[in-house]
Order: sequence, then structure tokens, then C-alpha cells
Amino acid sequence: MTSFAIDIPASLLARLKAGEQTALEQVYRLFEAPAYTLAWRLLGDRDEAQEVLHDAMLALIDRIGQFRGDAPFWGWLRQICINEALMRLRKRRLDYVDELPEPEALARGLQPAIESADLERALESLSPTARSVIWLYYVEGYTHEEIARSYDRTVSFSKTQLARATHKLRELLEVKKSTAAYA
Amino acid sequence: MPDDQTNLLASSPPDDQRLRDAMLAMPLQSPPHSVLPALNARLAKRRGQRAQRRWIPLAAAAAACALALLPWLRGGDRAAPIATLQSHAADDNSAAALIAQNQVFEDALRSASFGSRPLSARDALVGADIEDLIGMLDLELSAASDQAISTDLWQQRLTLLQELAAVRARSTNAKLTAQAVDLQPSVYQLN
Repeated sequence: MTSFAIDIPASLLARLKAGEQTALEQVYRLFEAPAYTLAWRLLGDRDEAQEVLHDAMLALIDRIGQFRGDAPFWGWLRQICINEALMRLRKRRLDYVDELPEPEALARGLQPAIESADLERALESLSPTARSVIWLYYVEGYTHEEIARSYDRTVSFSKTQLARATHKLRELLEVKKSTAAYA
Repeated sequence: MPDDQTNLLASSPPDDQRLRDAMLAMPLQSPPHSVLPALNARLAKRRGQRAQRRWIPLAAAAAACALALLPWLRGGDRAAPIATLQSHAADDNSAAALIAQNQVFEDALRSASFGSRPLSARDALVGADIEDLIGMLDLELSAASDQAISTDLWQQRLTLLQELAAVRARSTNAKLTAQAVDLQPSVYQLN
């Protein structure tokens, strides 16, 4: 289950809605790591991930009055974080490009000099779009429909991105295994 | 990630569930430093801006009251409170500033000597009601221990003082106009 799945007490939510600063601090501490991790996985940039964390918390304060409690609070907050991160991805103008790492780049990522390539490294080697789709699907449990909505694209976009990203991830890890075997 | 887990993922045939499990098992990351201080600073700035926006109509009302009081102030020493009043109206609405503004308004009302002038029955009643409300606020202020509540009460008190000044200025202004009209023939006779 996603690390975001943290239920907060109704009293904390009520205090948050009342604008209590201590409530915001409590919520921040609960969700700091999940929100930052999610943003980092989607963006692949620590500075931007930190900005997303900041902006998502501001958005939380602005929109808390709109939270009706139909769905878990964490899911609502997670969607805010995802929206903030995807907005930044779009600004980069790299969005929706089906680019995958060049074979040379893949090889570089797997050379002994940066041999610490593991799943983490493999994920970093993916394109931002591929990485964010695969993360939303596998870790956050998003459906293809939900991913398509988040990107304002079709379901096939999500399926294609996921298939390619999964294939590439496996390939990267496979190459690593082979490299290790020959070393 | 341990090598044996990587090898497991790399093994064929590909297994999506294994990939999912491996990704879910990845450790959480923490930001290099907390964004909470920046967040709090941003929120404090926003609160300040909101308070300033709230204060604009109030400042306008204060300026209008000051202008209404102006004809009733005699001599240079009485003009001083109004000038102070106008300058204070542009300040922030922290508790200290609000207290000072309350004091300025009270001084201005006293120096305008409205009490010696006859008011209409309606304005006299409204004025008395406002004074009662101010008295009640004073009681609440004496019992208020919370800074935010206290600030809010001072703000309410200032608004009431402004209303009181407006009522008295309107009433006495009307009275003076009537007196001036009545006196006109006599002035002509004297000339």
C-alpha cells in the first residue's frame, strides 16, 4: 500500500479546517516524507520535489474547506501533490514525450563507475513521463483511467507508457544482472 | 536496493507483481530541510496582507469621520487629533496600533465637544446605544486573556467609535446648518 495511506483523526481534521497552525504542523509532519517521496519520484529532482511539498501544503490550506470527507483525507492530499508535480512536469515541456533513454545513456547508467544502479537508479534513468506513470500505477495504485485523467490523455497513453516503462525497467535491471555476471 | 532483490526482478519471465513489491519496498525520502518555516513565513505574510485589505475600508471610514469632524474643531490644538487620526488609520491593525487608534478617536470625540451640542432624539438614542456597546466591549476587554480575542475586541471598539463619531458629526452638522439659516436675517440686520 502507498506510504501516503495515513488516516488522521477527525479532531485533527477539524482543527485543520479551523485554521489552527499546530494542526497544519501535525499534518505536515505526518505527510512530509510521503509527499516529498512522491514528488521526487514523479519529477526526479529534489529541489522541485521540495517546492512541490511546499506548494501542496499551501494548496491544502487554501482548499481544506472544500474537503467533504467522502474519500480519505490522505487520498485527497495525495491528489493535490500529484497535481502540483504534474503541473511542473508540464512546464518543463518534456511532458507526454514518449522518449526513453538512449541505449548509450542506459549503458552509461550501468557502467561500473556508477554501478550502484539498482531499482532506484533504473527509475531515475526513465523519462519523467514514464517514471511518473509507472510510479502512479505500481506504487500509488492508480488505474489507467485515473492516470489518463491526471495527464489529460487517453487510457491508451497510460497503457503504452506503462508497458514501455515496465519493459525498460526490466531491461535495465536485466543488463545490470548481466554486467554483474561478467564482472 | 539489495542485489538479490535486483536479480529477482531481472529474472525472467517478467513479473509485474514483483516489480510492484520492489517499488513499494523502496524507502521513503525526506527533504534536505523542512519546508515548515518557509510555509509558516508565507502564511504569516498572507495573514498580514489579508489584514491590510480588511483595514482599507476601515481607514477610509476613519478618514471620512475625520473630515466630518473637521468643521467642529476650533484652533490649531484641536486639529492635531484629526491629523493623528488620519495618519494612524494607515497603520497596521496590531493590538498596539488598534489601542492607539481607539485613543485617538476618543480624544477627537472629546475635543470636538459634541456633548455640549443638542442632538436629535434619534441620534441621541443611537449614540447612547453605541456607548453602551463600547462599555460592554470594555468589560470583555478587561477579561480577555487571549491576544487574538483582545485584538478583535479592540478592532470592534474602534469601529464603534467611528460610528459614534459619524452619528454625532451628522447630527451636529444638521443642527448648525439650521442655526446658520435662522441667524442669517439677524446678520443682515446687523449689517
